[in-house]
Amino acid sequence: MEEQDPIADKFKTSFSGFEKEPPAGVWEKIRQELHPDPGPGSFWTRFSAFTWFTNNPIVFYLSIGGIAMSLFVSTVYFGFRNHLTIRGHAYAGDIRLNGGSADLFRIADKTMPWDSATHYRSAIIDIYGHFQFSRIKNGSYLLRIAPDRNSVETEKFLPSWYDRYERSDSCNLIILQNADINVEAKLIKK
Amino acid sequence: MYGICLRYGGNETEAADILQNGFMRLFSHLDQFRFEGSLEQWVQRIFVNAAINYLKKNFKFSRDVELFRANEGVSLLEDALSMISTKELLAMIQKLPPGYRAVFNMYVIENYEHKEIANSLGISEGTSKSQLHRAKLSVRRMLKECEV
Repeated sequence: MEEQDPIADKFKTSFSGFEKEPPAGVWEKIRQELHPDPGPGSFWTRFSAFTWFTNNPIVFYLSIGGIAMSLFVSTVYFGFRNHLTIRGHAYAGDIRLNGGSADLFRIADKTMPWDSATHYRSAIIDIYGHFQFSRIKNGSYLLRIAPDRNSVETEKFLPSWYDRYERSDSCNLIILQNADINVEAKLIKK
Repeated sequence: MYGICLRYGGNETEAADILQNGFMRLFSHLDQFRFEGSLEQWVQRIFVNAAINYLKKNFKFSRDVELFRANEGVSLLEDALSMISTKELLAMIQKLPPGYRAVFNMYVIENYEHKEIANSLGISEGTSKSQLHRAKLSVRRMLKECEV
């Protein structure tokens, strides 16, 4: 039987359950080692999107805003990139028509006669003879101009298909292809 | 767990290092706990092992320098023993050479057998017994000095 050792007993008793709080900073060191902070990192790691942006919220939100704006502008630009304008003037003889109407018809035919005319857009001819069709897609079109119903011009002129054609099946095509077009159209003299 | 580290470390700095190493070992081996026996004992064992590894890495057990001359004639001072505080006991342990300190802690407080101590520290059983004996004598000497 082992001889009782009072020193051993004393130590055993004293240190049974002995605990002490470590100095300040020790837990932080342990935490750092278990979960190291990413820190500034190398030149390339700074561009790691997630950690860099989460450390710079202002830049993050500015970037989101910039991306959203870019998307919006791109949508508008590419969305309307193929939307063009046909504009011009209508004439009664040599004088600009003082009011009337202009109609645009879309054509699917590749050769005459233009049988597949489909009404596409209407526009007003103003007192200066000006008319304009906006956001028109690329394609082939026919244009018809007519004076106001009770205007003076109706006594001397007839509506015409561009340019000065009485019938639509053999008039001039307006071909729109990635560029705006300016048209000078004249009424048919009676 | 810091209490264990204080007993094995020679000072608070070493104890803090042991504590840090112990936690790294604990979290890296947490999946190895088999739920057989007490978690507390398992964790204590990890920290004891961390302390032993620390001492083995930083000190050579087989060539401990004796701080005090072992004097077989030092008598037990019961009064000193009864009056001494835990803090003073801790200081005594920390004054022991690392080899004595490790063996003393493992045998007296952790209840390791000499065979186990020998395997852990890479020494012989005889050396373990010898170092325990010398540790106790050193403690007796320090107790004697306390009384004076």
